[in-house]
Amino acid sequence: MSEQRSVGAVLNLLGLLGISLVLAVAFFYQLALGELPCPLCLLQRAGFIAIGMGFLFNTRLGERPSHYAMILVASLATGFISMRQVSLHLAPGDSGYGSALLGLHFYTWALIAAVGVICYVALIFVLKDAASERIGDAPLNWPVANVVFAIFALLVAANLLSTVLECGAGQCDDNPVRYLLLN
Amino acid sequence: MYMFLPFLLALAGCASVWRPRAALGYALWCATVVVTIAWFFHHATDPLNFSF
Repeated sequence: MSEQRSVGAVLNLLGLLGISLVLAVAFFYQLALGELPCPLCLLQRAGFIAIGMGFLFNTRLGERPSHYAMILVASLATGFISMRQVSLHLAPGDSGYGSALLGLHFYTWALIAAVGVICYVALIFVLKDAASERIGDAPLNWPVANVVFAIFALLVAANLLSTVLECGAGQCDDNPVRYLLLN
Repeated sequence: MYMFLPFLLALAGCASVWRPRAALGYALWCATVVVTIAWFFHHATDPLNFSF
């Protein structure tokens, strides 16, 4: 791998790692605090997974403009879903849904993160331009890329299992308090 | 309505990228986003009393 194309590759790998971190934090709160995700929370997780898939495509298949478009579209969808949930709990006196992290609820963090991903993609373009890179680089074949890929895939699989246990084969309760299939 | 469907589609998409089978991965990504948005509109039923 040349030095020139490593900037975009590394930033995409870091992006995938960041999305994995977001999913891991959400999972930690679910398992450690027993807070079951609501339907909108699950859809925000699905949105972050779709964002991560864009970074994954760039890492595994090589950078393409369409992969960046996937990241941006998924970010907009995730931001819209989280904005809806922020709006639901915006009224004075509403204590919000779930616990807070650093004073903000997770759906608010999801909105911030979705906007952050869009800014991150803009930063990638700027840094690639500054390094005179062009989109269309080859896949990243570093061993660490396989590790990050495995972590991301594991989190997706864990979310699938968790959602099946929580919701069964139907839709989830608006305020879930138990795993449907564990009773 | 299967709440787990977006995650199942995404996991299949990740598996297709591992092969790698790009076209299948793109199709599964599209399906993931479409199902996520469809499920969102299914759940977003409460009217928001905002005025702009």
